[in-house]
Amino acid sequence: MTTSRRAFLGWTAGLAASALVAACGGGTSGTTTAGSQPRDGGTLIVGQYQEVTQFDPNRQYSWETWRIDRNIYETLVDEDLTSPTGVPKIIPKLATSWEVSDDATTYTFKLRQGVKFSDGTPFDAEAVRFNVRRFTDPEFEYYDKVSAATMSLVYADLAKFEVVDAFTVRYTFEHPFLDFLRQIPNSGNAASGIFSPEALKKNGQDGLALDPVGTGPFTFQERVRGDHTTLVRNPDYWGPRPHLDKVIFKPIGDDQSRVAALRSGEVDFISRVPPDSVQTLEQAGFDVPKNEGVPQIIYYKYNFKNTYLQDRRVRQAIIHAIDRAQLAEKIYKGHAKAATSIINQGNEAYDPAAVDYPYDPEAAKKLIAEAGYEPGEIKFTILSDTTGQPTAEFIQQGLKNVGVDAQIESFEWITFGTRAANLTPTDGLILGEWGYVAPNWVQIAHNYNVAVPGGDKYSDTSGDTLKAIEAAAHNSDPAKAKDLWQEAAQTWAKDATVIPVLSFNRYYAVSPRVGGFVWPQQDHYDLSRVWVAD
Amino acid sequence: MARRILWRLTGLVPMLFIISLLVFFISKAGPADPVKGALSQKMSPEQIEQIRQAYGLDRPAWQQYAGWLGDMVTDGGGISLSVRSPVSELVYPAFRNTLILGAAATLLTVVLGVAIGFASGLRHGRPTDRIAMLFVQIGSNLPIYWFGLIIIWLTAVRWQWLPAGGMHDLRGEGGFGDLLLHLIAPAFAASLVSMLIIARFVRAAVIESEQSDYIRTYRSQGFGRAAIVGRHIGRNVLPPIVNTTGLTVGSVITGVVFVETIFSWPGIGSVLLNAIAGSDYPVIQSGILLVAVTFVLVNLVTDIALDLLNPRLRHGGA
Repeated sequence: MTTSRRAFLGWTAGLAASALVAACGGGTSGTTTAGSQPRDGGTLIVGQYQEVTQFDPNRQYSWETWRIDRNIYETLVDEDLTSPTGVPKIIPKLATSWEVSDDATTYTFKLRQGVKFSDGTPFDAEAVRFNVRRFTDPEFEYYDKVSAATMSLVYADLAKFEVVDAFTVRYTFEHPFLDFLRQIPNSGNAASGIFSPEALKKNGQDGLALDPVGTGPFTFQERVRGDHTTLVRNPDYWGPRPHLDKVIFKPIGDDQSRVAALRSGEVDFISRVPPDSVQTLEQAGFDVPKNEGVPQIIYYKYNFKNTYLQDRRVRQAIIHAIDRAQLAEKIYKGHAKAATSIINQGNEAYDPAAVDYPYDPEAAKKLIAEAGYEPGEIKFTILSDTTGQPTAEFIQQGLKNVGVDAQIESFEWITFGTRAANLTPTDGLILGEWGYVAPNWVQIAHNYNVAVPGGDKYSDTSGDTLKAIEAAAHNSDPAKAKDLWQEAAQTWAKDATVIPVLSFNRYYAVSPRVGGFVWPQQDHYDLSRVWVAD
Repeated sequence: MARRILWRLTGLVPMLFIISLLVFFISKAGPADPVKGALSQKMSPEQIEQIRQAYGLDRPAWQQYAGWLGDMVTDGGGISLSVRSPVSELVYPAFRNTLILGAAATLLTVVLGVAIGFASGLRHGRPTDRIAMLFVQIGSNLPIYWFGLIIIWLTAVRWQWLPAGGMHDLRGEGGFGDLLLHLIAPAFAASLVSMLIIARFVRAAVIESEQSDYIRTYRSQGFGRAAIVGRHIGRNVLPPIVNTTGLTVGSVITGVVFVETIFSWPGIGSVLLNAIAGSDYPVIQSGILLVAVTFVLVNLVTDIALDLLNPRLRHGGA
């Protein structure tokens, strides 16, 4: 109750504040510009929308955390993030070249020579082995269960890891794994950033999170919890010199405070721009880039402990009841795009024509009646984070129109995470935010949102879905991959066990002081080519 | 008098013991699971059980309590379950920041509250009083969250007088002046409601005291207004001021937790919220214990101050 009241206050305050500022004549506009010429030196301050988790690549979770971590830790391969459009090309990073077997089960990497971790120890095949054994080998002295649980998202099918020579390593998977290269530099959970084995030995399993050591263009200086994290340029970096000398990441959880910090010049750049602020920020001279290819999706999952939602007809009716196009257009003012399939925009297998169930309130009412429920009989709770409150309210209204009575509970993100991990039978829909470039996202999403929570029991078609997903996951022919994943997603969609909602096409806002920032088709960005004006 | 103070201090010991018991067992009574919360949903039941053992969460509650109390005394509260660093490093710096903000807010509450109260009380019924009371009326109904945002938009974005949030300028060298500059807006936002409560109390006390018989007597004997206000009215309204201040420190601290979110102030509020969400017992327990102890100490100081102000007690009475 208090949380929704707070969220309500937040929205009214945001509106009032916007109105106030509009009345004051649009506020200040930036006078400095970064110019067209890159400049070396200077400090960039990033305003993040949540507090980050921890700087251990194998234990971290959340996009904002990886946006910091990837400057400290590097991966064997990376993606070329210099273009704002198109699926990023896989490029060499700590590996200079690689070979993939024809059946896509064996990956052999030639490692870059002469690279040192920022603690001075060498990067080589043994260092990679140490990293991989940490999360795959229970016999290993430095095996870590927490890392193993997280990293299994990518490495569950790893059959064998070999050191071929001092600078060559080989991964062998039990099944073909076409998306392995794409998953190596991925964002959020299960990050394959390579850490210094000596640092882990010295500081212990929990120490890496506090004192992260990698090979990246920046090194960790300090983290003041709740306040900021500072990275400084790595003077011994093997690659091109990054322009910036220092990057400071500051969590500012409140939407309006974050926008205010950007406008007053305290931060140079923010993530998760509230839709109401896009226009005023642009008018004030800030760049709010548009990108319709970012692999991110807002969706809702069902709580299968709720008896109403164990009936496929009710789940299908709920999807019919939500006018996603209207949500993107009206509530998000066109700064978002409706999602009608679990395969997110920006995914290699994305198909904009795929629709699970169209908006059709009459069909929804009929299905609910068929399931044997009177209007007003079905009741449950929608769980959301505070930034997702407007979406939740829109869904609540749509459900009300078809005779479903939903209450909203919204929390700060970390609180939300715990609440979502401890569901009660009266909970109904739970917010999800995820998405990948790699199409094996379909498998990850199905595992996480349906198979593990027990949703397969309540679906007539789950056998077909599992078969279709396995066919796609174990396929070794890149030419067939897209079709197989689309088929898997469409088979799954018939179960109505997940509700795709929308994707954002505005997300960052950048001060005119900043040059070289690109919002690529990824959930993170590359800071090594960014510069700031004097 | 000294005996009375000593007696109050002795009373603290059982009180703190009871608080520590309450804090420990109430925080354990929540439904959420710390291991699940900390590790998201990707672990098998066996893995979760192993981790629970590693943290000692399988031991009987009294053993866990004894262990925690030992940790509190020796190293300040043990290790956080969710972020795995010492609780002392998480909780103490954040609590210090909250105290700084809370102290500044309390100071503003008292100084401005008393000033407004006296100004309207002494001009009772005249335009100054009417206008002040109108502001008090409006101000005490403003939601802190809304009010804080308006302050930020005006002072930081529109006029650019003050920073938009945080404790220090991340580009600069910091220092005391920088801290003061960052304190003004959040301290004002956090103090608003309590300030206006004190203003009302003081105004009422001033009016009452000014209309009392003995003040009328003083006046009739030709004492100057300044002397009457300074020596007599002031002395009479002091106890209610101290009393109300002691009571409102509680709401200042509650307000501070909201204000910390809006002004990105790295205080105990967000640490506790996150810890409660993640069922991070060691952090919740240490954090709440610190807040509880602060309340107890503020009450103690208020009581002692009231005793000192009470002539009957000061002159040796029971």
